[in-house]
Amino acid sequence: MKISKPILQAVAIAVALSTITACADMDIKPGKEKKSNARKLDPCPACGMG
Amino acid sequence: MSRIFSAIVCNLDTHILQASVPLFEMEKVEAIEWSFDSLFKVDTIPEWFTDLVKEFSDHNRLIGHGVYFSLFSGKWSPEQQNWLSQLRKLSGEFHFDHISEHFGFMTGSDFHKGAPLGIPFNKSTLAIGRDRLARIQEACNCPVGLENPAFSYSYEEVKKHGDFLNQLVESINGFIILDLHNLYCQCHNFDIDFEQMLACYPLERVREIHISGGSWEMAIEERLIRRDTHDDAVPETVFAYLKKALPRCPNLKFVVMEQLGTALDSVEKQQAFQQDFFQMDKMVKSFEENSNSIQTKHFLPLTALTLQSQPVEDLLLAAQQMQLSSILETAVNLDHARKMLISSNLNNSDWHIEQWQPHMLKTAIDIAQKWKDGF
Repeated sequence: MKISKPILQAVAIAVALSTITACADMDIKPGKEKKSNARKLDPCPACGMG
Repeated sequence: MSRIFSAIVCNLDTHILQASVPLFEMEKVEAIEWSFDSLFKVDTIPEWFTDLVKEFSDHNRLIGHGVYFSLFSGKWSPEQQNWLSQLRKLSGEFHFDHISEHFGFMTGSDFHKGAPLGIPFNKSTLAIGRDRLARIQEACNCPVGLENPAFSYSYEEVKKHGDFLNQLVESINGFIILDLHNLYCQCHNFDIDFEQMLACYPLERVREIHISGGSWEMAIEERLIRRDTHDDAVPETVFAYLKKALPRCPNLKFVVMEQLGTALDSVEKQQAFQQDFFQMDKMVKSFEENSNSIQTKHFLPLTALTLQSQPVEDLLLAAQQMQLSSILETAVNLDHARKMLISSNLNNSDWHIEQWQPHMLKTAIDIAQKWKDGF
C-alpha cells in the first residue's frame, strides 16, 4: 500500500531520532523513577509471551 | 476474486519501525496489525504514529490485536471495563477491519503483568468467553476473533482447542486467527502431525493467519520445548505450514508476520525480518494467482447481540486462577509445583492437572516467572 510521503518521512525521522515511547516505565516498573516523555523506546511485548 | 493482504505487526517500537520503514517505502506492506492496548497507559501517542495508523485505517487496512483483556478471568475487573471503553473510543477514531484477542487469562495486578495461561474447557469458561466476546463486539462494532494458543498442558487439551474456539466465536459469528507458529509449538511439544492438527480447527472461520519465530528450551532433561517467543526469524517449517494452510482457509483476508522489537536490534536481524516478509508475500501472491476463492463470510453477528447487565463471573474459577498463578510464579522446581497443585483447589477439578505433562508444567513455570514482574 502506498503511504503518503509526508507521513513516511515523519515516521522515518522519528525512528531515526529514537525519541518514541511505548509502554511507559512508570506503568510497568513501579519501583523505578518516572521519566520524561522523550526517551528511547521500551520494547512493548504485544504477543510473544509464550 | 477476494484479496489476501500481506501484513506486519506495527507497534510503537523503534526496532519494529526501523525494520518496517524500508517495506513501507517499497509499498510492500498491504495492512498493519496494531496492538492498540499496549498504548492505553501512554498519555500522548506521537502524532506521526497516529498518522501512520490512520493512513492504513483510511484504506480499510488496519486490524487490531489486543493483548491485555484477559478474556477468561473468572472475575470481571475494572481494568477490563476500562479496556472496553478505550477500545470503543479508538474504534471511533480509527476504522478497524477486525479486532482480535488472545486465548487465556492473565492474573497480574494490572494488565501489564502476568503471563497468558490456559483454562479448563467447560460450560463456565464457555459462558465467560462468549460474554466477553460479545462485549468486545459491542464496543468495536466490527468482526471479532480469537487466536489459537501456543501453549497447552496436555495432549488432551490440544485436541480440544479448535472445537472450543469454534464454540466461542460462533456466538458472535466471529473468526479465528490461525497462528502457524503456535501450531508449530503444539505439533512439536506433543508430537502431533500438522495435518492432524489442522483438521481439529474450523478453517472456514480463519480470517487471519500469523507467522513468526520462536525459541527452543530444555524444559526438563532431554525434552526440548518450542516456545512462542517471537524473537527469531520464521522457521522454514512454518513457511511450509503456510503453503499448506492457504488453500484450506477460504475466508482468509490477512496474513501477518510478527516479531518482537527486541529481536530486531541489529541491521542484520532487520534485513532477515524483511526477507521473511518478502518470502511470505511471495507465497501469498503465488497462491492468489492460482486461486478463485471468494470470501463468503462477513464475520459480523447474525442477530443483534443482547448483553447481560452484569458480566458473567465464576468466582471459584477466579480463585483457582489466582492459586495457579501463585503456584507457577513461586514454585522452586517441578516437584514443588506438583505438590502445591495437588493440595490446591485445582486438584480433582476440570483443570485435570493429573493429565498435565511434566515438560509443559515446567514450561508454564518458566513462562509465569519470566513475566510476573511485567515487561
